[in-house]
Amino acid sequence: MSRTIRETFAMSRREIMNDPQFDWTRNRKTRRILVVAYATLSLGAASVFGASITLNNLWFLGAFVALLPLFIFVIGSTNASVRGLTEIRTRELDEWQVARRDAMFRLCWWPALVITSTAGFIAALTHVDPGIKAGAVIAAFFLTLYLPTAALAWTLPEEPEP
Amino acid sequence: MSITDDFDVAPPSSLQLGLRRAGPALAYAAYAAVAAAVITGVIPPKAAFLALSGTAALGILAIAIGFRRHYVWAHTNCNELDEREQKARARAYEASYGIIIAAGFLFFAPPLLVEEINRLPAHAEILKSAIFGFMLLASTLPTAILAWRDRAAAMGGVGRTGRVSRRTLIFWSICGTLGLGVGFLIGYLA
Repeated sequence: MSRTIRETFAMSRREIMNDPQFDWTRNRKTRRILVVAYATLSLGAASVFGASITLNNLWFLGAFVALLPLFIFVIGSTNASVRGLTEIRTRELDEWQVARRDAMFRLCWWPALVITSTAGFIAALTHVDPGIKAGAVIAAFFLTLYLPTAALAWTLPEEPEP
Repeated sequence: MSITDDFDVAPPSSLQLGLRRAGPALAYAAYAAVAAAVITGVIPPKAAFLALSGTAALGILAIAIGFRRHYVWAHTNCNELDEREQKARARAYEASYGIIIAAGFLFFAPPLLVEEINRLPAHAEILKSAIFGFMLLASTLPTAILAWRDRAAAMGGVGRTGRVSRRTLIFWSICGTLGLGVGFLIGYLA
């Protein structure tokens, strides 16, 4: 079933996240592929951003900007693959979904702190190239921002057959 | 709506709640004041490390000891908490997560993007302030948010039995000590 852009924007976030057009993302294998794609994309984008600073080259910055639509696609697909657990308001989720989402933020707290601290240490206290510092901070930001959703997409069990 | 509004528990009085909320707010405000004094040169650079690490350590201890019920609540095993406590803790971590990621990015990204920040005379002091501030937030934010939001009277213990296992306490004491040690080392290197 195809929808116009106007019809899509008229839908609530909950409806979009549960839309059957995203069913292809919801099996566990696809979810895990999306998580790996996001991690690869984050590290790639951070490397390109760092290279643009090290080489003072605008083409690399352009490449970084060109990667952003890919981020939107992967993030959107992954959010839909977990039915928007980290996006939708709590009152729109069932008890099981709320429990899974809430537990994930606590689980990701220490890994996120370790990633942020490591990037901060590289950025603030080492004397490496500024491009490496910028790359570390950008990679850490992308990875931690998305960590709970990625962890949910990786760990949620297969949905039962309808 | 508060995270615990949907439970049938007696709310504390406004004064009790205000006093409880003032604790973490004071710890953070004290650190911010000392950091501002260090950055503006009111506290001489030689004393900056001691002033910042001391205030951060005192802030951590004040929140961990002064709000020990909430501190234990934030760190204890799930099986030692009832459903309401687990839910409130999870929400506190969700809020803390967003704040700490934003704070980390705001601490460390601007100097990389705006070269002039690195040439400021007080650059080393700004860096030290950011590092110890990050440590303070990372160590206490879930506890502070729980203390801020908890609508139940903050008395008694945590969990079904009102007690927390010795193993949990030892584990988190070791983690806290290691964290402080690493933080001081990083701050000293800065």
